[in-house]
Amino acid sequence: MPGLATSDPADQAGRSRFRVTLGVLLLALVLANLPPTAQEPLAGAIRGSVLRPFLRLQEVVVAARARAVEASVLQARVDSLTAVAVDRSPLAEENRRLRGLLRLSERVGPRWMAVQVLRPGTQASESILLVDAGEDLGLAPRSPVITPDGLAGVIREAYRHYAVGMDWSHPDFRASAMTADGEYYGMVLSARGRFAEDARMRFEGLPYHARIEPGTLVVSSGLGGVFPRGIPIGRVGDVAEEEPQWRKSYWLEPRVAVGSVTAALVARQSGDPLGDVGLAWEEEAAPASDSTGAGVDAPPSAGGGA
Amino acid sequence: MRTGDLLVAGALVLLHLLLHLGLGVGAGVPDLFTLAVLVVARECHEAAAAFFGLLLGLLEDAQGLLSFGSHGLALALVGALAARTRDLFVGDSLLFAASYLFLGKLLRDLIHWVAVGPGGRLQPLGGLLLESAMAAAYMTVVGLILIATTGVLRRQGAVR
Repeated sequence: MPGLATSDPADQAGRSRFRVTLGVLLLALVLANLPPTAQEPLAGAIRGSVLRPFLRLQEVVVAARARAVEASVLQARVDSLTAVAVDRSPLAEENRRLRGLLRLSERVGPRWMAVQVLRPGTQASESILLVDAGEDLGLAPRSPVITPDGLAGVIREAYRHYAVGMDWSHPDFRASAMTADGEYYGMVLSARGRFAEDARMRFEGLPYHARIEPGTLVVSSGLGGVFPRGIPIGRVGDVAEEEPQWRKSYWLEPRVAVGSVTAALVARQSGDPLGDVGLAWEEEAAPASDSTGAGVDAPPSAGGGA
Repeated sequence: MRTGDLLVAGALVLLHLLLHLGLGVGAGVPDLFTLAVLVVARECHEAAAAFFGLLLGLLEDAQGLLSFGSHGLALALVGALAARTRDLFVGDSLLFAASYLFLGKLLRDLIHWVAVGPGGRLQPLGGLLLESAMAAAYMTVVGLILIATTGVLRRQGAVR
């Protein structure tokens, strides 16, 4: 019978595909149930061949991401360190000033008291300073205000818990002064410029024949009973004015930048006059001149003077 | 099988490897292997679809350390069953294509979940169904975009 002898080719192909399909599924089942020792080489072979380029790409991407993260972490660290450094800069400066004040306080003696200096900050109160100590702590008008750099100003009015003073840039400021070697005596007063930053001093009342080298240190002379002898005031600059055969004055570069004074020493008033304080700066000046070569001229210690 | 569909399936495989394995995008990219198997299965007979699924599944299995062969088995079964759907359903509507893709992905995840066994399962069946449904929806959307742009799955191939 021809019908039984030749089956439909489509059915044969279908059966064949079904057997192949079963074979593939069986293969998948076998692969899924192989022992791990047999599976691992297979997986390794696939990873080392077909997947190799993609795994390499993944390595590159991961490395790039890690570098990006490292860069951002490093940037954050740099930012943090910069912020710390910036924060510490004023702190270090203030620390330096306070240390200087502490050293000066030990040298000038117990009559001098550390105070905090405030500035009102208004235009009308230029050259005025407020200190956080008053009559209750022994402050009185005409008490000198000094810093480790030298003379800063003087107290004008003392109240119960605070006092008001003026710094050397005030137009009314006067100080009896002399050159550090004690050769020439005169009066230091404020000379205002067009701006507050231009303010400097004039060393006036010098004899016409006086020849003072630029850079010579001028200190308080102790005359007049306000400032004790030996407080550094400034350094001599050019000649400011001459009256032939009569007198001469010099510009003076102040030692104290009044705008940056935040702490100072103020003398308490008592019956006894303030003694010579020149030694306080003399000790400080010695190592500085050794180390820098420029040095700070030391005012003369006591003795002599007018 | 049409050359265009073959190229689309190859591109899907390459994209899957590039995005998932090469760039490590993860769940941000749908399961393009399953999409490729489902595309191929509508164009060729079940043995070829099953073999194609097995190959892709083994590529997936080689990336992991556990349950080697489970992805191969899942994709081979999905390929075989998807190829059989040509004898059961004849249609090229978007609704049919969406259902086909969605159920295909869901079935693939379910078979894999069964194949890995209790020791390799990362989540219970409820969690799997929820996660798999979302992944299937995502893959379906991408598949529909692919249909709209390339024309795959819109016409059945001549190969039986």
